[in-house]
Amino acid sequence: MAGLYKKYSEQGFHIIGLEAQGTPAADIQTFAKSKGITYQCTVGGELAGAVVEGIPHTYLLGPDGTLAGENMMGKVLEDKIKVLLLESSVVYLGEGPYKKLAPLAAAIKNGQNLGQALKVLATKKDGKDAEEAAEAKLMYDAIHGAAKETFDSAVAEKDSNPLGAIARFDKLVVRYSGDEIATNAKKESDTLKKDPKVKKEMEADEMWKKVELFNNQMKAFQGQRDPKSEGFRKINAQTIQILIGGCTQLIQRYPGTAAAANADELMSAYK
Amino acid sequence: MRLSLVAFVLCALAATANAASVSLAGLKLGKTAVGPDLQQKDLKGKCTLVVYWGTH
Repeated sequence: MAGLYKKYSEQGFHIIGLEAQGTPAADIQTFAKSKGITYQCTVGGELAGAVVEGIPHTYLLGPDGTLAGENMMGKVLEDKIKVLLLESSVVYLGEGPYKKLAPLAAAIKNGQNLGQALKVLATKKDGKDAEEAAEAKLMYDAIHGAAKETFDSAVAEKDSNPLGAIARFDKLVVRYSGDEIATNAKKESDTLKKDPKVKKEMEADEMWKKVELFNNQMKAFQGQRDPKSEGFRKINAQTIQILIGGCTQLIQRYPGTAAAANADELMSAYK
Repeated sequence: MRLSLVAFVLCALAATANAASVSLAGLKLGKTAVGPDLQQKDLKGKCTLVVYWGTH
């Protein structure tokens, strides 16, 4: 995790370590130094709604503040972070610095609609105040460029990952409402959602999300969630049975979908 | 062993309800011991990994 932080922190990725064993600050500092941890670690603190059966237990929150993943590890976690960072305000705003447009930059960081921001910037970049116009052009290009990159990447994955493409298009629709890019994104999203094959993938994915969330609720055994561990299987015996039942139903109902492949892989790990 | 769809859906919905309530708005930070001293407002618009951990 320390490596992920170093790699992505300048792009808007943060890690908050909530020490859950009541360790004094001085001991946390010593431990962090020995492990090369430079991200923020606090004594205590909490995430409301978190159900932590064992540690470590992680929650990934997206730029919109909502839950994007739980207990993700390795490549799955890094890939998800990369996708989420495309939506980060750091990407939207570019490098700046912004002086005259600092209030607008702050508003965008707090979630102001980017379609509206682009309208304001389009006017300001042609204004008489040269300093403000330069800042407006810089910000406009950054925001518009980030949107175009997200749109293009969604178009590119329409065939290979239609659900991922729909998710990206729908986020553009919300964040850029009022701008042409939102209109185009909505058209693309609506077209994909009408495709019977994609509809089936969407239904299967809904069921998979429930299976995945259920899987995340497994109790850790000695800090680990290893499906092959006898101790882990013993304390989660009933949960594993239900999970396998869910996976079986998903595979039977939605054969050939990406969600069915995920369920098959998960079930194999527990069988 | 095959279990009923009802049992799975009930359990899955319970799990969904737990996870759905987690968001940045519910993050309360303790006293910073290591690293930057960010507050919840500083994390808006960013991607944040919250880690419950321990030193032993």
